Amino acid sequence: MPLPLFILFSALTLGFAVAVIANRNPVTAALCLVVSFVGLAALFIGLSAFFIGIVQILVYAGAVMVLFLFIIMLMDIEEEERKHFDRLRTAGGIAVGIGVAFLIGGVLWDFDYGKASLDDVPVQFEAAITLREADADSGIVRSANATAALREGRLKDVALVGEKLFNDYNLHLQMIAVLILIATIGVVTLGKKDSPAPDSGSSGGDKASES
Amino acid sequence: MIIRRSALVILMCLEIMLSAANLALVAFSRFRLEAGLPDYDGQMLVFFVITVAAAEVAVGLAIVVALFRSRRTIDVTTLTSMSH
Repeated sequence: MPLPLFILFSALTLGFAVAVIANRNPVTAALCLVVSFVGLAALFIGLSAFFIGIVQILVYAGAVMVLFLFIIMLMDIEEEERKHFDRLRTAGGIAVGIGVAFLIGGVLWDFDYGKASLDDVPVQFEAAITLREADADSGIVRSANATAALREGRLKDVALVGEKLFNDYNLHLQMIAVLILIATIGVVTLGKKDSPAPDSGSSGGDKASES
Repeated sequence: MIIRRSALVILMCLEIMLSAANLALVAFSRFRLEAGLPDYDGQMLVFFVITVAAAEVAVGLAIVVALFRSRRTIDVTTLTSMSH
């Protein structure tokens, strides 16, 4: 990724992430979060993680943010009133943030990768093709499609991710499926109106359907 | 809790934190080549983090809606009934 683009997208991501906590209107905060996530997806794609970048846009900027906006509309929350906040807590939060930034910066500085640019670690197509063909010969499942793309000098990210996911992380994928099922059941249970209490239960429902 | 008191915005900030971890994982997976290719183990972890975060947001928002129904507010500083 060219340096100007990297600076543009990281500034976009960081700036709108700050705007999320600086805005007092929740709708504005949610929309800022969408822009921040789109910038982040661009950074992912710049790191040649194309699949993760697309998933970031589809899941976060699409589904999750629509859910957020939907809930905000449902509850018609007014803006938070400005309140003086605890100086000590704010200073503590900023201090922890700066400390973590220095920690990560220090680790990266002592680490070889910290000083490397993306051009210093190019994808080694020849080595990858040889290793994949050796693996395929010894019976490990390797996508021929992805190997063919590598031979043309293209990084077929989705095929490689799928290969990894369904070979090495199959059990985890099924566990995620169960987790999502449980989350769905939990959401339905939480969202169900408890019928015996007509006052508290139905008033919330009426309010939601009016707005 | 320090600056924002809306439970919704706290959930949004949680998403930002998870995204920061995701960005670090993707960056390290790209820089640490595994057999000549980016280390896809890191990207798998990102994939699972995104999935779990989506499930977590769904449950979190359901809790926020339930909270709003019973209390008519989502200001976390007013929810002190368990503190004494």
